[in-house]
Amino acid sequence: VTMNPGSRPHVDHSEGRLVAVPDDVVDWLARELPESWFAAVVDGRAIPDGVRESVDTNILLRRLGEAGFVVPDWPAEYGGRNASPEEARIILETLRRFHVPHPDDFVGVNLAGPTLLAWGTDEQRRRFLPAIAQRTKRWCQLFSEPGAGSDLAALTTKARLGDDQVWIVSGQKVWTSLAHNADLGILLARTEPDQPKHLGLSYFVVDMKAQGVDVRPLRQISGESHFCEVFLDEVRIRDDCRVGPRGHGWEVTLTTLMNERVGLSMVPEVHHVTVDRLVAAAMNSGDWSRPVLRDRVLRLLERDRVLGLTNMRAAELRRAGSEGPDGSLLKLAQSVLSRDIAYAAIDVLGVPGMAWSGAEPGDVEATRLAFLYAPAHTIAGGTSEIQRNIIAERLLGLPREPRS
Amino acid sequence: MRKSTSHRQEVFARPVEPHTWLEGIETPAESALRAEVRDFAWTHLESERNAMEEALRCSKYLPLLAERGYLGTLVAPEHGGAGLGLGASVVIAQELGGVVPSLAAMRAVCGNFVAKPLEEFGTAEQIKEYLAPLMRGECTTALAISEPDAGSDVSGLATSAARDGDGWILNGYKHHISGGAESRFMLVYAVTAQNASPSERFTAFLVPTDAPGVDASDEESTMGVRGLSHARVRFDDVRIDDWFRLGDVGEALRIMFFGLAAERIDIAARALGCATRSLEEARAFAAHRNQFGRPIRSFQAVSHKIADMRTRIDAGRLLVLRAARLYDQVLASEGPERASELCNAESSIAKLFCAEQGFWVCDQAMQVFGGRGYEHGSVVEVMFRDSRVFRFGGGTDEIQRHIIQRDEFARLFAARG
Repeated sequence: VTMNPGSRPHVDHSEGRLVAVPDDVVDWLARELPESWFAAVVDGRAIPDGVRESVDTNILLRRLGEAGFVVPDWPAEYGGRNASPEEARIILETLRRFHVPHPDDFVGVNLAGPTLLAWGTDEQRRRFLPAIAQRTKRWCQLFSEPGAGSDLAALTTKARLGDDQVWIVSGQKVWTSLAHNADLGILLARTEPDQPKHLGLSYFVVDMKAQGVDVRPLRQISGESHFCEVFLDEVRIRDDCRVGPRGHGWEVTLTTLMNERVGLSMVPEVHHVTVDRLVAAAMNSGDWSRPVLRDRVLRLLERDRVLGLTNMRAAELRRAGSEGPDGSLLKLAQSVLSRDIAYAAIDVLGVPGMAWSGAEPGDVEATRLAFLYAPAHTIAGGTSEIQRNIIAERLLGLPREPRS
Repeated sequence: MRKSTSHRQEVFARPVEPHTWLEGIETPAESALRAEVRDFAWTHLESERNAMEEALRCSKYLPLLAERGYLGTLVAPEHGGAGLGLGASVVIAQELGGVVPSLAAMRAVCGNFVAKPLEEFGTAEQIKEYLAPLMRGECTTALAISEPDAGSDVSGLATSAARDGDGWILNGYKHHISGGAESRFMLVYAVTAQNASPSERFTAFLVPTDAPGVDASDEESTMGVRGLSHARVRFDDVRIDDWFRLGDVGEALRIMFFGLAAERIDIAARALGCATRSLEEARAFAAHRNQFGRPIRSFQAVSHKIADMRTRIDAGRLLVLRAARLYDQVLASEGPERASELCNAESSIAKLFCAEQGFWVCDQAMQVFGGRGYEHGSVVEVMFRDSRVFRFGGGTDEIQRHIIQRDEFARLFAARG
C-alpha cells in the first residue's frame, strides 16, 4: 500500500502502475480498523504490538461480510458488490495488505459459491449464497472416497430417489477438510448406477447436521485434525438440493474442481509462511550472508512473483471467457512453490524447527506447521501428477498415458 | 452400514519381500545378519512403533537388542559388546531404522556415540560402572554437546567446569539432548580452560543425572523421532568428583572427533532405513491401489517415482558400505582414532547423500500414498517426520559439504606439493 500526495492508499497494479483503492474500501478500513492499525499500514510501519489482538476477529469478519468484501465480484443480491474481477482483485489485495483476517470458509467462497452461481437455480442461489457472503454458514466438500481419490468418478456413494422426491444417500467420504465444523456440504453421489461412471452422478447440497451424517475427524501428520471421514447412512436430501441436471453431476463437479484449482493457486500463504516472511526471517537470522541460502530464497521470491503475474494473466483470460485447464497449471505451480517455501523456511529456522515446546514465538510454530503441511500441497485438490496429466493431455494435446 | 477405515498403522510392505539389492556386494555374513535383524524387528518391534511415539519412550526395548548383540556392535566382547565392526552395525541401523527409527536412534546414542568413547577413554572403574550396564540395556545415556549458541560450531560451547578441590563444579545449559530425560548419566562436554585454543579448551565428563543440580526434566516436543526424550538440561553448581572425568583435561575435542566418522555413517544408515521402508511401502501401495481401473503402479508418474527412489537408495547404500568398510579396515590396522580421521570425507559424503536423498524418498512415498499417507500414524508419515532430522543431526548438510570440499582441495594441494 502506498500513499500518494492526495493521501489516498494505492496498490500496485500488475504492470507496476499504482491503482487507487476505491474510496468506499478505504472508508471501510478507516472505520472498522483501530486507528493505529490503519495508520501503521498506510505509513508502511509494523502494526503496534497488541493492536491486532485487541480486535474481535469474528466481529471484523462479520462486518467484512456485511460490506460485501468476502465475495466482492458476486452480485449484490447474493451478498457481493457487483465488482469486476479487476476491482475485486484490488479490493482483496488491499484487504490482505491491511492484514484484515481471511474468511475461513474456502469451500463456501471458492467452490460451492461459484458452482451455485454457474449451475444453481435462482431459488438455490438465494437460499445458499448470502449465507456464504455473510459467513453465517460454513461448507465442506464431500467428493473423495477411500476408493476414489485421483479417480474421483469411481466413487460409490449411492443416492436413490424415493416417491416423495427425497433422495436417500449412503456411502463414505474421506479427507473432507473441516467437515466437523461445516454446516453444509457439496456432495457428489452415484444416482444412475447403470450409466458409465462419469454419466451416472448427481451433485447435491447436504445439511451436515442431518440425521445419518456421521463426521469423524482424522488426525494428520501435524497432530491436528483438519480433515475427516464422513459416513452417510440413509441421509435424506430433498430434490430441490440437487444442483444441475440429474446424472450430470460430473459436469457440475468440473466447475467446482476448476474453481478449486484456481482458488488454491490464489492462496497467498499457508500458516502465514510466505516468501516475503521467508526473506525477512533469513535476513533476521544472519543467514542472509550465506550465498547458497540467499540464492535459494531469491529463486523462491522470483517464482512467487512470476506466479503472481501468471495468476493475473489467467484472471484476465477467465474474464474473457476462457475456462480451460489453466487452473491446473496454476495449482501445480502454486503447490510446488508453497512446498518449497515451507521446506526452505524450516532450513532457515534450523534445529528449533524440529524441536519446540509450544512456548516459542509464533513464527516458529507457524513454520513447523507449514513444513508438516507441505506434503499436502501436492496432494490435496488433485495431486501434482493429476495436474500434469491434465496439462499434458488437455492443454498441450499430448498422447494419453500408455498402459504398462 | 460398516464404518471402518481407520487407516492408522496400515502396513503394505511385507518383511519377506525383496528389500536388499546388494547381493554379491554385501558379504554373506552381512546378508545373513540383515535377514536376521529384519525378522527380529518385524516380529518384535513393528507393532510397537506407534506405542513408543505415544509413550515418548523406547528404552524398555534395549535389553531385547542387547540380548541379540545388536546394541554395542562396535564395543569389544570383553566389555559386553559384539565387536562386529561398523559394517555389521550399519546393517542393524538400517533394518531397525526402517521399523522403529526412535529405537534405532536410542541404540546409536547408547551403543555407539557414548559407548565407544567410554570404552576407548574410560578408566576400568568407569567401564565397569557405566559401560557394562549400558551394554546390557539396563540403563540409557545421552550425549550432551549442543547449546543455544553452539551447534555446528562447537567452539562456542559455554557450559563450564571449574576445579573445586579434587572435583569439579559444572554450570551451563544444553538443549536438544536426545535421550536426556531418561538417562542414568550423560557424556557432557564443558569448558575447562576458557582462554586455551579449542583443541585444549574442553573436557569431557560422565555426569550422573541424579547428581544435585542436574535438571533434565524439561522435555522438548519434537516433530520426529518421538520415541525418546529430547531434553533441555540445566547444570546448576553440579559438583562431581574427578573420578567422573572422561579422558584427560583438555582432551574433549579429541574424544568428540574420535567418534564422529562412525556417527555420521550410522546416521546415513538410519536415513537409508527410513527411505528403504518408505520405498517398500510405496511400492506395495502402488501395486495395491487401483484408480482409473488399474493399479497406480501402471502410471509412469508413479512407477518412475519408484524407480527414482530405488536408484537413490542403491547409491546411498553403496556410499554407506564404502565408508563402513574403509572405517573397519583402518580400525583393524590403525585403531579407531585413525579410522575416524581417514574416513572423514567418505563418512560426510555418505551422510550428506543419504540424509538429503532419504528425505526426498520419504517425501515421494507420501506423494504416492496421497491423503492416506498424510494421516497421523501411517508408516510413511512416521518415516517422513523421522527422516528430516538426519539433515542436521550429527552435522548439518552444509557442514558435510564444507568437510567434503575441504578434503577435495586438500588432496589437490597435497598432489601439487
